[in-house]
Amino acid sequence: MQKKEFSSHISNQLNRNLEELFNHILEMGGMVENQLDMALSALENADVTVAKEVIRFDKIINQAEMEIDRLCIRVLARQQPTASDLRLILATIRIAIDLERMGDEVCKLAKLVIKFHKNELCVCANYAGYAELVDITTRSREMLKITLNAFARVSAEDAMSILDQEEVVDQVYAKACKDVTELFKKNPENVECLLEVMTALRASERLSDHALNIMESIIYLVQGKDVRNMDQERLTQFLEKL
Amino acid sequence: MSRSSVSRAISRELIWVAISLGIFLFFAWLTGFWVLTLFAYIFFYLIRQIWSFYQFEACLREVPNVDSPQTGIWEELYSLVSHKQRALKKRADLQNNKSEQFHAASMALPIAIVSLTKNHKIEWFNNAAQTLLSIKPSDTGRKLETLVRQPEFIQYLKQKELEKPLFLEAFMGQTRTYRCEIFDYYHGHRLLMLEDVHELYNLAKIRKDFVANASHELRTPLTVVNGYLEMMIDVPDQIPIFWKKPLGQMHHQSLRMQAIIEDLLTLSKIESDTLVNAITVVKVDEVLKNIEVDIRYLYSEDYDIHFLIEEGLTLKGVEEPLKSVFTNLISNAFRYTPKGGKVSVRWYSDASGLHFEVEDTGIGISKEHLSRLTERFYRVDTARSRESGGTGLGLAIVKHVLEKHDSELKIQSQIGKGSIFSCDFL
Repeated sequence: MQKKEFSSHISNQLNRNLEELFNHILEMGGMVENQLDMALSALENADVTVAKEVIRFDKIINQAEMEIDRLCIRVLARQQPTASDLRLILATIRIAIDLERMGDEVCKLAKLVIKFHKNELCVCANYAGYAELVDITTRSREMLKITLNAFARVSAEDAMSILDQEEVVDQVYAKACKDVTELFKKNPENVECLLEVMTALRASERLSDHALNIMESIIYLVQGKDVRNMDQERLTQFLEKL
Repeated sequence: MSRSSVSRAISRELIWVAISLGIFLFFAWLTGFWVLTLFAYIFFYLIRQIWSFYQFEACLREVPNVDSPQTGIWEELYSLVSHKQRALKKRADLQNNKSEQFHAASMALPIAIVSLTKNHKIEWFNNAAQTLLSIKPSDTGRKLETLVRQPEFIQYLKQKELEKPLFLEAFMGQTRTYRCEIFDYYHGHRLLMLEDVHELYNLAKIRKDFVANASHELRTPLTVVNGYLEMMIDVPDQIPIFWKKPLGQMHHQSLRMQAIIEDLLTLSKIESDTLVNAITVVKVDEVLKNIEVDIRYLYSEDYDIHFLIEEGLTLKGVEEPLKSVFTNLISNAFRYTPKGGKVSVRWYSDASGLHFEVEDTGIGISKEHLSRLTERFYRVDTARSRESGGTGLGLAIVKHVLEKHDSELKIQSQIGKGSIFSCDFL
């Protein structure tokens, strides 16, 4: 499926429903992108009002996921799509779940900002792992943008760059974990703050994992091939063939 | 010209027919085969015509190695057709050139331009749009909102009526200010324009902040100066007579400065939108009656004053700023009308809405000043305005308040005869 056309079906209703589904996913993706942007600026400026806004925004994203589920069920029940249409429905459900999870992880980042604000002993920017946290989040933001654009263009061309980014994120995450563990040993009195940083680091790392999951769903949609449990070598070979 | 040449071709053909027919008839007269010669002539003439037609057709179809027709009418027809063709091609080239030039111009614009269909599918876009919106040429035909996913933007795009431009504080991962506007054009298509206005926006913000902060900081020292001056004037016995006049002048000027600062603060408050939050129903008739009482107390000896106020006429808006609009316009009328003049204030309604109007028989304003009158500190006659005690900000305040109420100030004026300041509300 190289180019998605929603006008190729005899049933007009199916065309309309599929297109609506497609737009809904991207609209939801836009919300998560926006939420992630806000969380990033909250992290960088330690801005509590923006952080609270991020958490409020999560409710809208959850509603969007439910709306997408409802649409998928309607199409499945009424039109029984097959082949690429069925793949679109399956991919849509998976992507919606990933996006909703991403929203939750972004909320964890926002909660870190709020907690640091309440507990004045923690001057967050000074902590080890904080720079890495911002770094990972920025990279995840970029990955999300690339994957959503890939979905909009129904092409898996950029899958390789997502894989590369994911590897970089893993390395940064490993380094940050090591630094934070060192600090645990050195200053046991700061355990609370360090735990918060650790949770946020984990959340930001999960963000990039979800972005990768979305890319896998897109490859499934475009190529009809499930790449979720492929080992690294075969996956690289497969992607180079694209 | 073409008609005469065609008729020339016909006449040439007729001469040719006459001569050739003459030759054949001479041959028939010599030999006596009349019928046979006549048939032979018709056959010969037909062959000649068909051959020319073949050449004509071949030339139009651009078949190689065939000459253009050389005989009579066909030659002329061919030259006319090819003439017309050349002219058409020239025109088409010109049009093509123009549209290419137009296309190149839109590509070179620094503002991002995207043309959309009714369903927001991308039709074409310029180079700036490629970088600003990060879209590729292969995205033509895709829906714009699938690639530009910012929630505010999507909301703006979905609106049916697009009047005001949208200002985006952050866009596509850039924390800069963008101005986004969508127009309807060309049979239901839409044109999206996106411009980076970060510098301009910042500049305007700095100016606003500066004016607000500076006037706020100046207020306190001035109050102190003013207080002491008043104290000194209140005890006339203890200061030398020599200082009396200077002190009076100082007091007068410091009061003027205070008025200016108050006006500056009001202006920046209006600009920063804090006033618009409290929209209520303003009883304009009562407000104007209160002003009338003050005005009559001050000026009734020297002026002919008329207040024509329609009872019970109210307006949706914010009371304090509106009141300052009315007092500013009315006190201006007195300030620029010589004693003995006439000032009339009208507040009335008609089919087109509500109207406020102040008419005076004052000195008037010449045309070249009218457009600049609402600028801050703009003076028609510097010396005169200072002496009459204006701050130079009154009309600027009027303009801003009226803008917030979706109205505008209209000025008609004739030098030496007087002016009419009016505004219309819906």
